[in-house]
Amino acid sequence: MNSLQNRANAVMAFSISAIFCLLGAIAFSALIIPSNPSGAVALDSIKVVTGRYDRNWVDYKTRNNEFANTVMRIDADLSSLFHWNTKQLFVYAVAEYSTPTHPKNQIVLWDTIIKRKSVAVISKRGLNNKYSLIDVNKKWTDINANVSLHWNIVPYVGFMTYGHSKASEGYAFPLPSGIQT
Amino acid sequence: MNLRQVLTNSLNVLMMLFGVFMSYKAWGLYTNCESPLVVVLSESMEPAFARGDILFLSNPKKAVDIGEICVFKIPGRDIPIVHRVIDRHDSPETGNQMLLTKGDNNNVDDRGIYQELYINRGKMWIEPKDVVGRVQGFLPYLGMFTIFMTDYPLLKYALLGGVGLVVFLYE
Repeated sequence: MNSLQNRANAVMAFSISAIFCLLGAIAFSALIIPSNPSGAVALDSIKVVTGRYDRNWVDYKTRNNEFANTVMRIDADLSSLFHWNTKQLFVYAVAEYSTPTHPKNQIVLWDTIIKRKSVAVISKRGLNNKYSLIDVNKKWTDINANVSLHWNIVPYVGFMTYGHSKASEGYAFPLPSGIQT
Repeated sequence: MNLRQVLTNSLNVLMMLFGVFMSYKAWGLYTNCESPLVVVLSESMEPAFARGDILFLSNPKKAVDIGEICVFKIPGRDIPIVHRVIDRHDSPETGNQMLLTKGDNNNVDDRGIYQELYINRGKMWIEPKDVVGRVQGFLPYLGMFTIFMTDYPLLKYALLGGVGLVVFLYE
């Protein structure tokens, strides 16, 4: 009855249940820990140039696609998002706009990974977009875009959670003023 | 050891296996996802996900959002890819979206992967029909078991042998 096998089995079963209860408690606790993240993105300048994306990619193989080059300003304090179950933050600046053919468009302009609370206060000036800002219609005329800062909290264990700042004012794109080299 | 005992044990083992299988399938129905658990095999989402981590997926009806991490299948490729959405363009027709993805640890977006096969030439975007799941939860390390078992088939046979021993020897 109280053989070695039974005891080992009981110890194993109990420790596995205990570990999973603990992991569950940690995962759910992350959802109720209060935080007050703040963030804002602003565009200091937008310039539209024409160019070729990559001749191998059939959609954009002509030379008159319009690319927007932006200079961004990002201020954020995300340190309150760091708690015992935060492995990293994935922080990304998003431009959002609508066109007659596509009512909702979002493009990531810039992103970064933050792994420590001590570097979770962002203050950046003169940032250029890291990813191409090009629409599916390849034109920026008559389009207004707003920008906002988004973040994704990647936990050590548990739920992926997302958040974002308030959207900025709308920015109008200027007419093309050059050729992308 | 008698026949009755062996049969009872086999029944118990089968009950357990089918119970696990049925719960998994029920969970798949609930999350609208054919395989609601996946094991990360590559390093392209480091440092968020490492090889051997388990991801919990679901596939809600609502549109894929920017920054969401999707598991998607490229036509003609068997192994699904887990990457983050960095561009999204919604068409007025409900449900259709043009999505561009990129691995956090990769330097370039995934268009090179989309167009790797000749049948996919000119594929600039993935669509919701390519997306098989969206990452909702994360459990580290435990997927290493399945990676070990695929890498060392002997381990798999040892495990099966262990189950067989239980059937014949447990009283």
